[in-house]
Amino acid sequence: MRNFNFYYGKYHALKNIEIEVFKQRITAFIGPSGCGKSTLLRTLNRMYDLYPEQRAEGEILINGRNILDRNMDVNELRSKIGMVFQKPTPFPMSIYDNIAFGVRLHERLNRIEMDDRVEWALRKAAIWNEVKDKLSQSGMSLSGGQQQRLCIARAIAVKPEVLLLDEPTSALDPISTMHIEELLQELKQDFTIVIVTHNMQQAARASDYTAYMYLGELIEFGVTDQIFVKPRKKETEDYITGRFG
Amino acid sequence: MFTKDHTAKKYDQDLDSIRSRVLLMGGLVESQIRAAIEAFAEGDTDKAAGVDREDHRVNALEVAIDQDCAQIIARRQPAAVDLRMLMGISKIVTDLERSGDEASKIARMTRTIYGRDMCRVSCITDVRDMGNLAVGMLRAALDTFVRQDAVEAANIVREDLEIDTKFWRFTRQLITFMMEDPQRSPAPWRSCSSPRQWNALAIRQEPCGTGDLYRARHRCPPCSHRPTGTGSQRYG
Repeated sequence: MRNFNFYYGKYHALKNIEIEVFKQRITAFIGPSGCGKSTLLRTLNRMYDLYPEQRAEGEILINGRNILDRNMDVNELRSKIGMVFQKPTPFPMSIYDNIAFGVRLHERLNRIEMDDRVEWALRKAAIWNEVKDKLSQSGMSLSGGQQQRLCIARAIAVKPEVLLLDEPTSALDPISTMHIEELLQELKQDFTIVIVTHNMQQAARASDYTAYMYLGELIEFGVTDQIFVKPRKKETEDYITGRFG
Repeated sequence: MFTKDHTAKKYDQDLDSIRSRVLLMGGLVESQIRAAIEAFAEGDTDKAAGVDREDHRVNALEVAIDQDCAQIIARRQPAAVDLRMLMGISKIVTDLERSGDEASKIARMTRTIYGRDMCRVSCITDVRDMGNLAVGMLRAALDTFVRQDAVEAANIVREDLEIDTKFWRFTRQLITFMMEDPQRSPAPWRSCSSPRQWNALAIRQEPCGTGDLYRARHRCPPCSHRPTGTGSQRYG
């Protein structure tokens, strides 16, 4: 991201963001509510395009291409950048179709290839063993943690390069949270992961790099070990040590 | 000490309580060392016995502070400056406890030397000087802990060179003395052990300083003047 600014109408929500997200690494964004971390995540796959009063300026380069460019195919972009939301959002259809639905939008696969892709995605999301005997059952019948892993499987089924996760475990119990965090470590072998979290310990446990945001500005970005042991900025230290507000 | 308090006031109280008890422990160790110096210099075996008896209070404080550090880490998951402080305290209390042990050893040696009606040892002034230097380093290390002064903590680490030099000078002096009068060797040799304890004490203060440094900077300066091991390993 270079000199990136984002506006909700006249409100300047993100200010001069400069950050490099590293390939096949987990980058966590932390900060208090309203600091702009989810807004920033939404710009990475141009979700804001759905709202006419929202606009972005600057550059977000992926493989050398500016995704803010008007000529950029948003559908192609979103196939390259998958997103998982705070609350699990399985479609009201079978577990199999939850995965196959997104793939059909982007690729034409025959039945065998599609079966292989569904199994691959479910295995990658570490949920295959739990659902392999009930693929025709509704995705809504799974537990919260399983639903979230199903959503991750759905996101990675189209083989994106980047996976965006917006507080993916905030609605889950600690065990499901640990499953998802463990899964992220596996997934980073294949994908670049960007995660927004309110849980600082989750950022400390699961990420390789951490960015601290406050009032729409990127205050500090660095290796997670450095941010949590010896941050350079006083504001970061105050936030992560609980001396905030 | 910090510009802002934690949002959780209980967290501040817990950290303050630990800091206060580190200072209390430091004060106890300092008085232990002072008493050991006086007992040795004056040949006061009762005072020496008192030093030995006090050691359990220092040991108990080390255990309690260590437990509290573990509890805070488990309950609060401290980060950044708080984490560095707790890690530093964990190192500091270990070194303070060992300093107390060295003071006890000096006290026991004093009782052995004077209790068996051995001859009075020579070079009392030099021994007392080394002891005072070690106490001074301890006090300065505790001051840097209170003030969170990384620069001064680095100076204390460098001061160890001075006590090393004194120790070498004293050892040479005693060896000369023993060569001149081998019949009286046991007592001088024991008194040689005391400076060794002072030196060990000073070396203990150095990690106290580096503990402060750990907290303040999260890196320790190289101790080029101290090649390897502790005093007793090098000279023993």
